[in-house]
Amino acid sequence: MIGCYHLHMLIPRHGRALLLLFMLSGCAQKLPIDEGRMVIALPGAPVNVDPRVATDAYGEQILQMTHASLVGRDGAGDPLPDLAERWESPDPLTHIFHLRPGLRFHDGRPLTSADVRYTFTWILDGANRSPHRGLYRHLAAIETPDARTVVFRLSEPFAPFLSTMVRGIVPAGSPARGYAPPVGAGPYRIDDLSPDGEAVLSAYDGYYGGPPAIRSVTVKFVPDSNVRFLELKMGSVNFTLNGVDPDLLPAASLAGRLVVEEGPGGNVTYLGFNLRDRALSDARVRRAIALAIDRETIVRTIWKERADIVSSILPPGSWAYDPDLPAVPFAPARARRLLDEAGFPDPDGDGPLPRLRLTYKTSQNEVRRRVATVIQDQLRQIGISVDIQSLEWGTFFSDIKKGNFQMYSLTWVGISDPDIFHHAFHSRSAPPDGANRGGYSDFEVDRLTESARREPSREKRREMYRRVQRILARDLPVFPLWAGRNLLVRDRGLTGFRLTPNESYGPVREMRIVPDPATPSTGGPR
Amino acid sequence: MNEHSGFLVLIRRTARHRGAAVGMVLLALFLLAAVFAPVIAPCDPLAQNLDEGLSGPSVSHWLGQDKFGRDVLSRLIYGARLSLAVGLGTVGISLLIGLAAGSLAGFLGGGVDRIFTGACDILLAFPGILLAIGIAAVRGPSFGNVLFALSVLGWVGYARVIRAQVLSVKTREFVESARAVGSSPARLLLRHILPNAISPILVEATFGIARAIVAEAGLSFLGLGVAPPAASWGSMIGEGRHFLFIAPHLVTAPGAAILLTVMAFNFLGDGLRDALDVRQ
Repeated sequence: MIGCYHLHMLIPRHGRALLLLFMLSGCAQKLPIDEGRMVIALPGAPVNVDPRVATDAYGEQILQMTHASLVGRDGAGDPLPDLAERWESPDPLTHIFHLRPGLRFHDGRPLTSADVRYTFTWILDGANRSPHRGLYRHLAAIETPDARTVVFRLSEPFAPFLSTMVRGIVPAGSPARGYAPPVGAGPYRIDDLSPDGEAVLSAYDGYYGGPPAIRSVTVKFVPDSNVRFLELKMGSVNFTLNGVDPDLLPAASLAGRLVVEEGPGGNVTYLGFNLRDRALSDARVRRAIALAIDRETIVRTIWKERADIVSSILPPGSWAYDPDLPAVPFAPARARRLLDEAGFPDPDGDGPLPRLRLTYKTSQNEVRRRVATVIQDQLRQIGISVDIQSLEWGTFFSDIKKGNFQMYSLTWVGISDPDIFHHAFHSRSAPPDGANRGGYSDFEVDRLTESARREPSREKRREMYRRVQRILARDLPVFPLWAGRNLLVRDRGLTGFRLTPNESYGPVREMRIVPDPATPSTGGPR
Repeated sequence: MNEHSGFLVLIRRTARHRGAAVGMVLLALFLLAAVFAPVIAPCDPLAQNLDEGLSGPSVSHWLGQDKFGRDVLSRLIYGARLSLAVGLGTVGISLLIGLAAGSLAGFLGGGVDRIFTGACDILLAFPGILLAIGIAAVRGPSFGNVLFALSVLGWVGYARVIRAQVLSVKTREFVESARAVGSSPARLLLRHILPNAISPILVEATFGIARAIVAEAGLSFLGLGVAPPAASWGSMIGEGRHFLFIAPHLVTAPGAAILLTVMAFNFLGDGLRDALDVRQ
């Protein structure tokens, strides 16, 4: 019954004075940017920050600032030199990497080829249960002829090999330490990490690319979009990538010190079908569902035009994306005819009885729930009754991996190589060996994806993947919806960040804090 | 005085309490809105008009439109159905279980009572809302799961109150007389003890309905309540809070509805308590 008491009954006089003083001092407090600190807001805490086992997006994003890998990626997902200054492949089974001279980890230990071998041997050791182990199953041997040379020998040709070399390198002998991350060699070191609060990073002066200009970076884990937005407006957070609800962006733009930037995105959202289901095993039903979804309206109203409609699960910026794929139009009348043909006639015309009932599983992410609600309504228009099950992430993802669903929506994050088609649609890629969760099987897709991963020529691979995309566009084992555009909201004083389609935080190392002459940099809440 | 006239007297005495009278009027309004929602609601609460999403109050939409362009007033009226159904349903289920368990424990005594008291102590150690959140998160959002999650522990409080009442009433002279003339244990419990032990439960139930409505609102706010597109007041606030800065009308109307309903049930509970007080 605390509400029955007045403040003066609960707080003694000197306490009230202190409280007032505290509130007033808060108004004059310096903001992080005035102290040369950058504060990033992430929508969630990382599950793990060890590059050998981390799979979640938030963990990967922190690792992009703290751990260096043999190769990096450019905006198109192509490999760039990172710890390795160059590499060569004398034959399809041999890849030789040459490390930069003078590399050191954050604790001062030299980084050598032995550390590279240790990192990948640790991942391949079944006892360590790394979820990345399957990615390196083609590795037959790792040789270290000298401290700066690593030779990877493969058991069979694997064209996407370079794209798998983006794993952060840790010092030889590093044990897995639960939530405590191992030492890295990236531009920032982790000073403190608390899963329910923040990660505190500081600039690493021994970084091979030179010390970063911003000396201190705090990564705050703020799940609530309103709180992220408020913190941005107040200045206690000064940088967030895809962390502001598209509806709030105009309000963010109005806040004088904030700048909104937009760039193409590489994360493709899709609608997945369970092909073992009696109704959804029929391609006509899947096509009818696709024809009934008005993606243009969803992109315009839910995403505020900040997404691009796609016809493939590859992002439009990928070198293997087929721009000539036939787009699925919004055509509810055709959808109804297809359902009639597939044996799902409307039982009562305009009456309330549906042609069929389906369950749509999604996570509890607010925008995903919004999209599910719109799709539910659009499918209702063609006589499909949809029951939305919005589940806690762990339960949801476990159900999807087990094949316990009819329809679901998910987003492919960070696709860098079209070998994703083998992972997601090859008939032998059912979980846990891959991500063919819907049970799709097509002989031609199997053959093409197997051949493409062995083919060294990019041109030939491109042609094979285009054929794969055309088959998938015909069969629709999943319905690609859109690729979200990347939205950066930052303080005007933070400059130098390059937006990349894969949402990388690597470019943070190139950022600077510049005084903004237009606005006083100190003072109260903004 | 027969039972029917006894009930009327209780209503009349409750209505004399000013707060309870206000509560009864408010509840009558909400119940009418819930029952006649299809007649009263100006629009289809599920009809989307995405291009008009987040529009403010207007002549055609008195309380504005939500993110999907759905009419907020119509959803508020239909939401009364779900929110009141959860409140009444949860308390109904909890009362049934609580009455059965508590009266048997109090009446039989001995080992049964000791087991019951121990079980109650263990169950009360669980934080109720956290357990409800866990159940709703695992089983997924639906009306049935909300009822289940809120009733799992909801009956314990009623059971303890009724047990204490039964323990006190079963030693009274009129019960001894009934036993002396050969009444069966079942008749003793159902005919003589329970009717005289139930008054505090009625008062507790009115507060319980208010608590259940708030709990449902909390679960729906967290996305664990009723499944979309159904509207409950809590889910309306949960959906609207994301637009608090640009469309505050989305949360104020359902917030006010919850406030008024909970207040009405609490006033009614106060009035009932006074009306049932034998000292008056």
